[in-house]
Amino acid sequence: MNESLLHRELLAQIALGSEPALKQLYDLFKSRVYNTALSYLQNPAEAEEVTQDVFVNIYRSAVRFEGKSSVNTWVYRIAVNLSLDRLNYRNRRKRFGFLVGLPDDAEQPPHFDHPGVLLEQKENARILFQAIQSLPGQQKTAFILSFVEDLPRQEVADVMELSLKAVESLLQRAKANLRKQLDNFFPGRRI
Amino acid sequence: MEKEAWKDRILGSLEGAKRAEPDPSLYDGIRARLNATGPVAQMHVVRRPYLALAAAFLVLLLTANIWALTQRYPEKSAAPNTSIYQLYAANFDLY
Repeated sequence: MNESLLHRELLAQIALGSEPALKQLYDLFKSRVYNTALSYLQNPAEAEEVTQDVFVNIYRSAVRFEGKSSVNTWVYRIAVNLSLDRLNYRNRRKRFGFLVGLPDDAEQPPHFDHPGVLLEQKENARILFQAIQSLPGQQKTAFILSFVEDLPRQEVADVMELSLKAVESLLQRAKANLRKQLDNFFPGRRI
Repeated sequence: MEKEAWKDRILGSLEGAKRAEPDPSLYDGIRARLNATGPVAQMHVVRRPYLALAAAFLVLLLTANIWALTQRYPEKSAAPNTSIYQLYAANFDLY
């Protein structure tokens, strides 16, 4: 069966309440969803929570899937939105915690090492992920989907519900901003 | 020049990277959440306790203001009683 048809068939079964179909869809999409969430949150525990949220959300909203986009695009859209929600929640909590002295429940490690990056690139990727954190939301999404998830530009545009041209412009700005940010990490820079 | 080459290396550091995999037991958590009743609503409330606190504070503030206003301008006593004025006029008759 064609991959796209299989996804739609699974989603139709999930809409009828089939848990085995959800497990099958989970096995197909778990690494895409987890990897996307991990790229935003740079914290494995939070990325796993968001992955759970995504599949619970899929189970509950499968009945509302209209088929206007591919299932792949739809799942990525949910993953991106919930990851951004989580980031906003974390930032709000940080601000509020600062004001009232609440402890931070999701302690952020000082450095993030992506487990899938080649060993010889670990150090460079660690710097890149630190710089990615400073990007504005849309630029961050375009960059993560294009260069971490390696999605084709058209698919990125579909997930973000933007034109191809808009995504290319976002990527240009993201790269320019990252280059600026990287000035702060250059070894031996003058302070 | 050296700096720009270094930046290029950093920006290209994700080439050949593989996707990260979640913990194998993660699906058990999803199943547990699906079987629990009303986890979404519950999670929503627990996640934003400060919103509830802020809302409660606003309601309290509003109630206190309304109470203060009603104490300051009571409906009945605010209207002057004409018979009392007539009495004063009789007692302090200047003419």
